[in-house]
Amino acid sequence: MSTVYDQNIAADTTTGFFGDAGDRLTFQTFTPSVSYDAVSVSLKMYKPGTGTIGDITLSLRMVDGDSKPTGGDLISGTTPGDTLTTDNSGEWRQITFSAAYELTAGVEYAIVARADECDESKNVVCRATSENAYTNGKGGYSTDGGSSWTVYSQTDLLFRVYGDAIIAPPSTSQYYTKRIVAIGSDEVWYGVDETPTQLADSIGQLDTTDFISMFEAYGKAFIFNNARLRIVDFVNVKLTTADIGSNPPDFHTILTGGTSGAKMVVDYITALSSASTIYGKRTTEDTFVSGETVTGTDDGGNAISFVISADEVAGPHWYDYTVYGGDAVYGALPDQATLGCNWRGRIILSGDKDYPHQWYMSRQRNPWDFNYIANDAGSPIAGGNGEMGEVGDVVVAVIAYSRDYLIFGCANSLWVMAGDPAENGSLYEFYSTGGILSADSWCRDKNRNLYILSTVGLLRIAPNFQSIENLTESSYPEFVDGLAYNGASHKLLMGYDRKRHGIQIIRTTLVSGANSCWWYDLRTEGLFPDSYPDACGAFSLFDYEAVDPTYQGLLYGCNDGYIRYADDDAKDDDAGDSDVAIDSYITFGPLKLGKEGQESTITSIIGITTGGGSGGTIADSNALTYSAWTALSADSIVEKLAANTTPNAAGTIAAPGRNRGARKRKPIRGLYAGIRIGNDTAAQTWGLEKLIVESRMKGRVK
Amino acid sequence: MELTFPIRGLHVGMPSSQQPQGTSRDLNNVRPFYDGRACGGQRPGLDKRYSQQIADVAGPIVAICSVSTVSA
Repeated sequence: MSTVYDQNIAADTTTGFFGDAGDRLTFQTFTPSVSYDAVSVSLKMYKPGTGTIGDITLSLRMVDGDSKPTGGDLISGTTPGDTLTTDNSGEWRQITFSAAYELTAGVEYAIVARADECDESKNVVCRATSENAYTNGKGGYSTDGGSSWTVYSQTDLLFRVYGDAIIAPPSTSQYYTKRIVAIGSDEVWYGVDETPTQLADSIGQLDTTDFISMFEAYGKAFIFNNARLRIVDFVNVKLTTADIGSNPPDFHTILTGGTSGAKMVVDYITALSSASTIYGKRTTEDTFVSGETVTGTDDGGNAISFVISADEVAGPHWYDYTVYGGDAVYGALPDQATLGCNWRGRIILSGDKDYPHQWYMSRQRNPWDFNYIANDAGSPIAGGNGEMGEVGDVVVAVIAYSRDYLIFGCANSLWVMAGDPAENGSLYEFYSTGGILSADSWCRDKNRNLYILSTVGLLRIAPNFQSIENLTESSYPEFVDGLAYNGASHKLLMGYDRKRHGIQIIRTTLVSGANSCWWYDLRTEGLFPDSYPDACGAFSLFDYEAVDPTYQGLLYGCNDGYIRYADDDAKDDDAGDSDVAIDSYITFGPLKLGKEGQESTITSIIGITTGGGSGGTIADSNALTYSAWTALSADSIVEKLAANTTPNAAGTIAAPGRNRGARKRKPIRGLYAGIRIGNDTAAQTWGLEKLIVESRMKGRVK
Repeated sequence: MELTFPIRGLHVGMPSSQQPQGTSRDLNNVRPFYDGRACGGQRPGLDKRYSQQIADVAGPIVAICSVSTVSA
């Protein structure tokens, strides 16, 4: 409900006027004391005598320094002037603007009245106050259609401006940024929206044909690519100095710029003496400037002082992952790693090809400290998974399952670190029947169940290890054999699709992108084979919890360098330059047609697809093709369905819905039947309501 | 007989003559939920999430993650 924000309703002892075929205009200025959305304005007016007024236009305009209207209309509205009263006491006539217009507090605006269709010498009279009774604006007029303006010395029009309060938009967390980071063709790209950006410093610094892992920690992406241990740092600024001085800053030392007053919390430095690069989180709006002396106090109470040789540099930064200052006093990282994660604030590394059974953990909340001889609750620590006196199982995957549990997926077993290893944590084997197949063959669902594609099938591990189920044990006992996974020639991935509550499993051939995929639907507990064009063969999957819902969901890092997603509106697969039809089908059967030993004849097949026709709310299916076979044994039907050749009957199921003449009459006879329906046409999709198969008993099998 | 979509997916663990209800021995590129209903149909197509290709030459994207930061 709009309310009056500005007005002049004092005693109206005089008048102003406008009209005269549009030559005569009048105006009244006002200055809002608060900002609001103006929606309408009213003047107290009447039309004296006879003659045509036509539409009256009231508008808002800006004003110049002399309180005269300037520029065009900001917003306007009209009212039929010929319906105005002729009573010279006037009437309040309210005119609604075509849209709300935001007025800013303290800015002077003008209400301008005109009647372009008015008869010549005919006017509309506005009631007004005299003797400057209104102190928050000026009245005035124009006699040349608004080319020039005159301000009344004492007259102000009666007016009201109606408006609505401005509703402040919700906070947009403007300081929070989440970005996607992707690795392809030996380089790193990153971005928040549609256009990821190349990180130039990363070009050629990775080998994407080698094993690689990447994860987030401390505002950075940690990348382990065998001997190439790298960091993309999005959170820090960078300072450089030719001489760090005798007292280098410690981890989390606060440094201050002597000239700029800028401050930072030190995160990492490349050297403890001589030339060094300092990375830290700046906490001020002031920035560090070239040539200034930077000071602070180290953990030992010693004064830090050095001169920086360049202005600070904003991220992202690309540098090698080393211990703090690259100095042995902070221990040493493994020479190589291909597995990693962030668990309890520790950086976990494994996958050292020379010590594949080993894992390494940084100090808690300090990714730069690997000095294992420390003896405190956050101490760095390293170890392996095996019985005492034995070399442990090979680590294939490290999974930060929860704050309390870190899982080591090994080649032949699954182990868990429960609690922190430096604070009464324990390491034990929780599954000895099989190991994990690959570094990325695991995922979690929204209920915190963990899924692992193991050497014995697809496992579901309930929260807190309450139960472990093999989901494919009965439905597809030879699932792992069917996968035919070979780590040297395949990539094996799992990803949870939170929108569809299912798991995508993908095995991609490294050299070609050819793929064999499965969808495990958690709503129906069913396994569904998939296949995608080679260009779409996925080499990485990532459940992206983007800030913008547009970008949320499971992302597929594909063979051709594009990141893709499952689009419910897409009827084809995007394969780069072209779209590829999806060859989709299901089979029914073997269907036993009658009693044991009795043959039957299928007399009709009626297909009912989804959709109610053009328009409506239910997606309309495209037509389906069907093929049907009969045989004397169930296994024979299975083989015929798999071969998909020479059906006993075939045809098309029209769509959408049920169509007249949908009954397919071609009797075919046997003990068992199998039916295949599907569609492999570009730009088409389908859904099935049901299939009705009618049969008639025949004689005994002879 | 009325046949509905095999929403329990692939099942090859039983003798052919005892195929469990709601399963299929052979299917491809389908989902048990179609248009928001458990009636079954073709899976959704894959589409580009970002129009920008990662790297100047076509090569597989081998790793993806996200990184969050809070600025001063």
